[in-house]
Amino acid sequence: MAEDKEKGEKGTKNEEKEEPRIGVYVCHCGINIAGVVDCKDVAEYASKLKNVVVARDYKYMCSDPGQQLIKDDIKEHKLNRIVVAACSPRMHEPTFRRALEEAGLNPFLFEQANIREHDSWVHMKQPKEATEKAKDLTRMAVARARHLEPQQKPKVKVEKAALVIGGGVAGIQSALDLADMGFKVYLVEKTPSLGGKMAQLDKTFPTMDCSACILTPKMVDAARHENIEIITYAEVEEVDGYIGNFKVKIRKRARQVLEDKCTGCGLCAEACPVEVPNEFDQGLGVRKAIYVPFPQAVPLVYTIDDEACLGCGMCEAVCGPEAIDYDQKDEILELEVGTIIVATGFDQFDATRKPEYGYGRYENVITGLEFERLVNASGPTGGKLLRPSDGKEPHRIGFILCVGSRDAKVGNPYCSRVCCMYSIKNARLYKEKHPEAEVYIFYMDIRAYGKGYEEFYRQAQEEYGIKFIRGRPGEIVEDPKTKNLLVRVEDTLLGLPLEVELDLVVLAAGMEPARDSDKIQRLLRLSRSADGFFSEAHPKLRPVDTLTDGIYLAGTCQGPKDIPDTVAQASAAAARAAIPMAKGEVETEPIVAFVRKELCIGCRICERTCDFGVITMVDRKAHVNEAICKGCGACAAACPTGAMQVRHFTDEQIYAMIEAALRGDVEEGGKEEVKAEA
Amino acid sequence: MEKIQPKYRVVSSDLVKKIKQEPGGEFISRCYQCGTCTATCVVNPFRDDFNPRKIIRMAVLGVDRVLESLEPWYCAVCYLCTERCPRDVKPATVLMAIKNVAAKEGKVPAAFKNINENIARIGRLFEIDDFTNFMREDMGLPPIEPIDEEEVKKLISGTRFEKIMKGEESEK
Repeated sequence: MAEDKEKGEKGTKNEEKEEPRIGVYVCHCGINIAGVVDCKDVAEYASKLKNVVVARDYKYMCSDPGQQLIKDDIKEHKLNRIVVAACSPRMHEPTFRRALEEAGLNPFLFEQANIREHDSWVHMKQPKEATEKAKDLTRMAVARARHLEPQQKPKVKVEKAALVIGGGVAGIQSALDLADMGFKVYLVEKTPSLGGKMAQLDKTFPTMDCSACILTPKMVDAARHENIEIITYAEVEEVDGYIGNFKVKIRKRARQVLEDKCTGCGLCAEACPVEVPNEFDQGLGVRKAIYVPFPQAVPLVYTIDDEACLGCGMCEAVCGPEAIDYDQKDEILELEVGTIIVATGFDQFDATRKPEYGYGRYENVITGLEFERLVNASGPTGGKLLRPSDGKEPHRIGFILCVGSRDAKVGNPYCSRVCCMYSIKNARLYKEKHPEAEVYIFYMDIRAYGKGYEEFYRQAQEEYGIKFIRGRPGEIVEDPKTKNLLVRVEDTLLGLPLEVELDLVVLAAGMEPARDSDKIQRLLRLSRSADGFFSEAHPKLRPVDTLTDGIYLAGTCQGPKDIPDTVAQASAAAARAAIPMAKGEVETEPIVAFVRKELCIGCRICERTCDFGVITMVDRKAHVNEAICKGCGACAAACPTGAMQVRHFTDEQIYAMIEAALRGDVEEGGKEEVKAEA
Repeated sequence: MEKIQPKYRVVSSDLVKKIKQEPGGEFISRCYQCGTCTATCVVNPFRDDFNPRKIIRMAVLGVDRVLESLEPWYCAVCYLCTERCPRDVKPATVLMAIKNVAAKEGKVPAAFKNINENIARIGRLFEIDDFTNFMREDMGLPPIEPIDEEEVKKLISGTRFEKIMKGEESEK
């Protein structure tokens, strides 16, 4: 796409040698800025700076009248550079650039000084100093504005195909939506089957739908869809390129079973003599070395677990269609896609990190996900909840909420949002089958915020007689003979410490970012919030976009959420990803490196500095492949002669800002002082 | 006939400020009243009037009787609550801070004053008599040697001990 990115060097209206005529606009942002900074004073100061033709302050620069002010001044005063001192450019740079464009000025002849996030908000209690800082920031912006040059936004074609990473309910929903819109979708899943965590659940709150019953039809839909290519047992290895033109390498691991031949009959698994713990059942049950994770797996293709397989050949011997291929090798697939949806999900909190609850030491302390498998008909006990220690049905069960959530000690200060409801659901499930059972829920706050959730909670108390104790257990002690558990808890509503003897304790282990989030973050250059989940571009207004154009988030990889929220977000991500693909082309930032050939000495330092392999040597001079340059600026910083530059962030612009910051009004009123110094 | 007076507790925000200024009391406002400290406490099963969660709650609200009461002084400072507190409030050191505030205001309970006076006088919590050493001999332990009381007095005189005990610290 190099030709698409090629820059036109002429501005719409501006000529390079033209004397800068700068307009400065200081925004009050209501009282956000004006409550601290004396905006009139800043505008007054700016009006005296060199090249500044007009300087004003206004209540809301981003408002229509505010933008009109700029547009009118451009025409009236023949302005050719605009500086707005307001909020972060993250907020409103696009707004003002558009205003410039509408007035016939190249949008890159704009500079924004951040006197809100960087000034009034952080220096609320020092109005005098904040005003001085606002002047400094404005002076720096003006200094840079003098050196701004017009840029053209290159247009890039968008490949009408999407990659969806993660085959849980989020990934499946996004893939189905995009495929229904007519786009090609590659749905990549790490494990041998689609389904994700939702496939492991028994029933879902608050409707008590069977989780698999509502999920598997979607899995089948995805498998049958002509626009969806499902790639399971595979991981993304490399992502290159940018919106519209991502180049993705995927390692499809060798199943040692030929997908097109395997009929999923299961004779091989019957014959296989090796049994290992089944991760799909949280290790509670067993599977064979050749296996499908669960009966409704999609695709229904067996996989040989390389680590467990003895190579005895039993499976090969019984396989009718001759689908076993021990020599199968990993395959690398190369895809070209326009957009990427990340739906990599979560992992359950490792409950052994709360040693006071004895998980991993006491047999009868289990996690929520283990409970789901133990009550599930296709689980290791055939749907009958039995105590792990003696295989008896428990009479007294306790659910402990907030295990690994809202917990600063384990570094998870956030609420996992589903544990209250899934624990109430599990408590009700057991009570339904065993009305005589005693069921307790130990909670701090019940968060029943969704549609029908509060009603579900009320029924649990009123109709099911589940006892809610407000208190976080301090510890659990096991009776070594009976393996019963003594839960020590204070009923904080009574102020009364209790010791409750239970047969089984279920820890509502919360959600954590998926264990391989680091890898995904690196591959896609995503950012993460303090809780470790992937960051959305804006918490309210761009909840499924990322800061990398063309990459979107769906489901719990962005933060804990339940199934309805996950599905809604997955559809939202699909809708967002469809926009550039439907348009067919997008504008990209022209901020890439370029070479001033006359200065290049061919030392190749830039070539070695570049992490993206963008720079090559042509005729002993550096050459930048602008189509794939990320504009990070590492080469420009490393270049010893100043030959390497980044568009819109040239050395002249940066040095002018530094100069203005350090030496004050060097080009303005303070000229004489500087001369005296020199 | 005797009039029945309604009884209300006075709350104020001053107390929590004072506690936060004491070393160890900084994190008191983080508490979300989950009861882990009380459920963990080794003293509570023996004295149900010692409930660290309630003491912290009263301190946060500034219920006036916290400083006068004996409750904070029952803490054995075993730090189990601090180990398990999910919000990292550090309940054991918060109680220490509450005690320090009480001491500065001359509100050390009489029983603890007696113990403190013993330490100032003889350098021990209680006096060692022949019977104690006889018991120790029975258990094969060496006798306890007397402490140089003058040394102890010298040490104590170099601290704010006397002032705190007399409740003069608060006037500063």
